Amino acid sequence: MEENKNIPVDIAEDKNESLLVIRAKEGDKAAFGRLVKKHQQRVLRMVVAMTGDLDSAMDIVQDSFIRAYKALESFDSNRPFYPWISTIAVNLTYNYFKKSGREVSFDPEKDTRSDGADPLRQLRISENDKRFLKAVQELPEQYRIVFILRSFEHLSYNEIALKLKISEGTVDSRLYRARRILLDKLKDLLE
Amino acid sequence: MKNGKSKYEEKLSAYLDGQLTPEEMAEIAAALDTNPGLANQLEQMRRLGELAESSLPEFDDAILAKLEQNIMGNLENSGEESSTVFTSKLSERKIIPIWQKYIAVAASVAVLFLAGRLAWKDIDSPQSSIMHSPAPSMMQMPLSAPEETNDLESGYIEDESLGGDSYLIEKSVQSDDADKGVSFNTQSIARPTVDVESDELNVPEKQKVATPSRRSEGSKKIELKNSASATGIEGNEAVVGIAKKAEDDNVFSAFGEIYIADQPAEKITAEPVVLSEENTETVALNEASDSYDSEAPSQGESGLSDMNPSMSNVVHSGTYDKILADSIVSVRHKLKADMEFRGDAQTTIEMADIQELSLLPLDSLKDIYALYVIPSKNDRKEYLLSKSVYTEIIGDTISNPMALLDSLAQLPGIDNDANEIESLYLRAKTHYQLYLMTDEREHYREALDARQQLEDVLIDQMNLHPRDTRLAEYAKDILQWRFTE
Repeated sequence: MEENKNIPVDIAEDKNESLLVIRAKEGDKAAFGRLVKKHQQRVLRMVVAMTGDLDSAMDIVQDSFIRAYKALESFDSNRPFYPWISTIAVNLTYNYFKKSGREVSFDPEKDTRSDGADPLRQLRISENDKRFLKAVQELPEQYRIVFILRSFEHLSYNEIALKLKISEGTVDSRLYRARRILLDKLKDLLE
Repeated sequence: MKNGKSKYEEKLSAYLDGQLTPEEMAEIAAALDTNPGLANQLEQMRRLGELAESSLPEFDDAILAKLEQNIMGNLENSGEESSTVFTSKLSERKIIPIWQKYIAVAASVAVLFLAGRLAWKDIDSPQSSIMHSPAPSMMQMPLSAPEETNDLESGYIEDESLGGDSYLIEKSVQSDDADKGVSFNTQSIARPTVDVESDELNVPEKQKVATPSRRSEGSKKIELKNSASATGIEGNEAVVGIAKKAEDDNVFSAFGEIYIADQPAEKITAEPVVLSEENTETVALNEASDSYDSEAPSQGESGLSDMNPSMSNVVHSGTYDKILADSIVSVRHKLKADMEFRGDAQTTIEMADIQELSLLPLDSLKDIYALYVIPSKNDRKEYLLSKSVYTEIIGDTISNPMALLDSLAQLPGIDNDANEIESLYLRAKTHYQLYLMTDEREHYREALDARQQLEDVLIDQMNLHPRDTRLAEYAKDILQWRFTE
């Protein structure tokens, strides 16, 4: 797997992670807490990119880790934890889209919490970045997730295909279409 | 040119990601050298990637601390019980080898067998299964549980040591009359077969050995292991076994159960078997209780008569729907671990999942999962065409959806999505069938989900190919499918 450029993982860390998983399997919640601490940033970024909503993303990421904890017994501790937790998060995000009618807004002007605060404001991102994320959010769901897994997660076509249970050809075509749509929408930003 | 785009443009994305063959990479590279517009597009795609890289900042500590706190707090509060709809206590169920505790029961059974009132029946093929020779008097018994009982628990017993196509589903009901003990409504699963030439689905009749039946006080289930299966009734004691011929022709795996039957068998088809510690295991029945709550629907309740009319075509016998429904429950339980592993309670059941489940009666599920278990697309199509009933399940107007989908796959420009369209169609259909059979809302939701996704893909395709009237016609047909809840 291609590693996220921001999160290099060395061998020692892998071993350490395996130990954490083993200990978590044995019921050591503190060990699981360390896994949460290690991966939550990256998972949250991915889910926020998909949902465009920090609050929803927080819920999804929370649920993902809880599910992972409950299913730890079936997880091979020799495998890296992140691909597993990210797969869970992607699946839950899919479910979230279904349950929410797929009309998930990424409009910074409208997307406010019940307390009136703009959840995206917490992200402290530039207007251009907001525009970009809004454009990503407006992609058809099928394209959006493929684009995010490729552009944010740096997964290979094969990894995306496995994760989403689609063919590599479908990954290719969706990615192409996603990029075409984004190029059209963000032409001025990209020139 | 296709759809206004050059062949190079369509490959730019894959070129950027290094996903093309060396030859294609070279071809695109050459085109880039001579086509400034193409090179400009590639550069824009690169910038798009850079924008993605930089668009999301790292979340600050306060957000992460809150998230971590929520996760860990939830773990502390919820314990370790799973909350998904597929929760099963399967892993908690134990088949307890308590032979020695109940050796007296087994011994009495052995005596019954040795009395020579039971006869072996060889099981060389599914068609010659013991289920083909049921006790006539028992076959006339009603499907439903005894009216005088209240259903208190249900469950199914499985023995992971069994291989192949065999398993036993048992549903138990507690009699109102405590003196009568526990009654059991047993489902014995046999393998249906399909005769494509005659267009007949040969469904072995279910053998209802003892319904209503009473378990004698203190009796326990006896499993026959590594021996030929037996069926028969001795006096008011009945044994039903389900067998699978092992690789070694001389060895069979089997379940057996002892009942107190209401009436004696008129036909004995089994030969004596000597029960011993080596070939039996006594199981505490209550250990089998698990979380699935789809108790056996009777025909008059949620069974055949209440199903969508199209389902009557699927169900070739009054028992087949019930058998399949219970099989599906079994599938669901068996897939539970994998579903949770993937964190997706809505995981589509896949062929690979089924193949790994050695206990599943694949043939009995074939009608439901035909499109998953038949690997060849042509074979699937042939099977479906031979079974016209299956083309009517979801839509009233589509007589041959596979042919329709095949046609769809031939349309230009959508070949990459054809498989997905088919997959979504099959997923929707399968879950709708499962819903009709099991009355479980989860399957209904799954079917709706799949249908929604199918719509998405079709709409995407129509947007991409707005002038393709054939595509629009196909999509229009498919989008007319309606589920009946």
